[in-house]
Amino acid sequence: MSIVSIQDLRKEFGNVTAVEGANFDIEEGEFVSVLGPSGSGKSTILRMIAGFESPTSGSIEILGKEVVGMAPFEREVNMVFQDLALFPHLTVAENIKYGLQQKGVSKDEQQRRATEMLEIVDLAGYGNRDIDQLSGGEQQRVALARALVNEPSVVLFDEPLASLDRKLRQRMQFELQQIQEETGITFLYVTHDQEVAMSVSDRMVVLNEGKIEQIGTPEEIYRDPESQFVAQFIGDLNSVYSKVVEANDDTVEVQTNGTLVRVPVMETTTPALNAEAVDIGVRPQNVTLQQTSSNGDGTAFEIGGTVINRMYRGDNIAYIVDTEDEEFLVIEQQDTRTEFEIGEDVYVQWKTDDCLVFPSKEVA
Amino acid sequence: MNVNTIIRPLERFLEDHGKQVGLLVLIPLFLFLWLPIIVVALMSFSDSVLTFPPENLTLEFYHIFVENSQARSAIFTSLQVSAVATPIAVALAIMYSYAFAKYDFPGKGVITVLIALPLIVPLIVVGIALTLLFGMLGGSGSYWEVVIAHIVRILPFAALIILPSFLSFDTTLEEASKDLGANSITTFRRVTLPNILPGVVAGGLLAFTISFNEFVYTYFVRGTGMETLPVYLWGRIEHTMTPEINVISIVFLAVAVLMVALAVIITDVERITIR
Repeated sequence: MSIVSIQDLRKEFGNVTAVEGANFDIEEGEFVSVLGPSGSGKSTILRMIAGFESPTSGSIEILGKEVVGMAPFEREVNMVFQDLALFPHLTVAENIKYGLQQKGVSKDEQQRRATEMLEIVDLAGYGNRDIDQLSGGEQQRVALARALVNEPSVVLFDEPLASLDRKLRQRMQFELQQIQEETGITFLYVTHDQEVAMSVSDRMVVLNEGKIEQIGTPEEIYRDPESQFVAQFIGDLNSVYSKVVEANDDTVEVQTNGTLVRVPVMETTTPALNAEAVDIGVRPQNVTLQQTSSNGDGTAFEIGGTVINRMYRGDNIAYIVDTEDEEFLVIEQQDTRTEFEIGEDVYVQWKTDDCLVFPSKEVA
Repeated sequence: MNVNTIIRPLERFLEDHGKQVGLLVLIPLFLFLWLPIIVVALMSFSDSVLTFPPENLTLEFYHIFVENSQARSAIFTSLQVSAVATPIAVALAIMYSYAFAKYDFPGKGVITVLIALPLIVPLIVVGIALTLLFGMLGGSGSYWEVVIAHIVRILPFAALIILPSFLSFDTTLEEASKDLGANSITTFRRVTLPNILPGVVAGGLLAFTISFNEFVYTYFVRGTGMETLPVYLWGRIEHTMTPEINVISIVFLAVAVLMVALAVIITDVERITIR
C-alpha cells in the first residue's frame, strides 16, 4: 500500500488553476521531491496534503484513508515549514515535545523521545536553549526533530533549506538523507532547486504550470526527459530549431548547413517522430568547440559562431557562443588543451547520440 | 551667504556637545511633566491648601482619608467598574485585532475608522449620547450602564495597542501548531496568546488606567449610587479645597503604579518582550 496516493488532484484559486490533474503515489520509506519553478503549484500540493488547503476536486489518501475534508491536526503528517515556524516562546525541547503533548504522550516518554531526537539531529544538550540562540542550521535541525519525533507517515518539506548558504545547504541535504535512511520515515520534499532535488531524492515529480511533466528517478529525468521543459529545467540545454525532412521508426532526418543528419529519437519523446519541425537539444557538457570546420559524416552537428563570453569556473570554463540560430552555452573541462578567447570564430559541434529531440515549440 | 556656513559649525558643535544639549532639553521637559505631581505629593503632607512650600508637614490628612468611608467606597466602586470593563474591552480588542490581521472582509476599512473614531469625538458628545441612549432604553444609571460607558471609552485604546502585536504575529506558527496535532483553541492558548501577550498586557494596562481615571462619561451616565473616585474628587473640589484632595490624588497615582507593577510581575513581560 502506498503511504500517500494522490488522484486527479485539482485546485483552483478564483480563475487561476494552480494544480491540474495531478496523480502520483509515494511508497513507504521513499524520498520524493516535487520540483518546479515558482508558481508551478508544488507548494499548493504540499499544503493540500498537510490540510491547509482543500482541493477543488480529486482525492488524497494517506495510508489508504481518504483525508480530504480532515483538519490538519487530524492527519498523520508533519511539515517542516519554509521559514521553519519554530515557536519563539518555547525552548528547543518544548518545541520538540509540542506534538507529543497534543497526542497525550506521558511526560517521561516525551522527555525520553525528545532527548533521543536531539541526539539523532546532532543537538544533544541543546534542549533548554531558546530558539533565537541557535544558528540557522541548528534551527533547521530543530524543525526536523519537531516533525520526526511524532513518527508521522510522511514528513512534508516546504523548501526549508532555501535560506541557507550553499555550503550549509549541501551539508544539510546530506544529513537529511542520512536521517531519512536512519529513521525510514517517508519524505516528501518540495523545492525549486533542481540541484537539491537531484542529490537527495529517490524519485522526482517535475511540475510545470500546475501539471506534472514527468515522474522518475533523478537519472531517468536527467537522461530521458519527456519534454523540453523538463530537459531545460533539470540541467541546462541548448536547442536548435529544425524542419524534419524525413521520419523513420526511431529517427528523424533533418537538414543542417546543407547536410542531412539522422538523429535518434528516444522512446520517451516519440511524438517528435510525427512533428513537422523539431527542437534538437544538447547539454552544454556534450558540446565541443573547434577552431576549424571538420566536414560532417552525418553523425554530428556543426554550427559556426563567435565566442561572446567566457566564464572561468575553476574546474571548467563556460563559453557563450553566438551562432546564427541561437546563443550556445558550452562547458569545456579545464583539462582540454585549447582555450578560446572572446571574439574568436569557432565551430560548435555535438554528436547525434547526445541529442534530445522534442517536437518544436515554435509553430512552423 | 551660503546656508552651510551656519549649518556646518552648528553640526560640529552638536556632534561634540550633543549629550549636554540633549540634557538641556530633557531636564526642563521632565520638570514640566513631573513638577506638578511632585508639588501635589509634597502638598499632601501640608496642613494648609494654599501655602507653598508647606510650613508644617503632617500625616493628618492621610488619617482623615483613611477614616473617610465615602472616599474608600469611591475607590472600591472605581475598582469594581474598571476591573470588569477592562477585561471585556481587552477581549473585544483581541477579537477585533485577530480578525483584522487575519482576514479580508467587506467593510474592513469602515470598521477600522469606527473603532478609532471615539478617540476624536468630544467626550461630552458621547457622554450626552450615551445618557440619551440609556434614557431611551429606560436605564437609571446603574452599575452596568457605567461599565458599558467605560468599555466604549477604553476599547479604542486597547484595540490600537493590541492590533500591532497581531499584525506582526507570524500566522504560520498557528499552522505549525495545527500540523503538530493541536486544535484551534489549544493553538490560540498555547501559541497565539503567548506571542501577543506583551501587546495585550500593554493594551490592558492602558485601558485600565484610562478607565480608572474616566470622569466625563461616568459623570453623565451614572445614577446617584455610582460614585467613582474621579467623580467623588470632583464633588469634593466643588465644595471645599482641603489637603485631603492632594492625598486622594496621590492615592490615585499609587493605584496606577501598583497596577503596572503587578502586571509586570504576573506576566513576566520583560522576559517575553526581550525574546
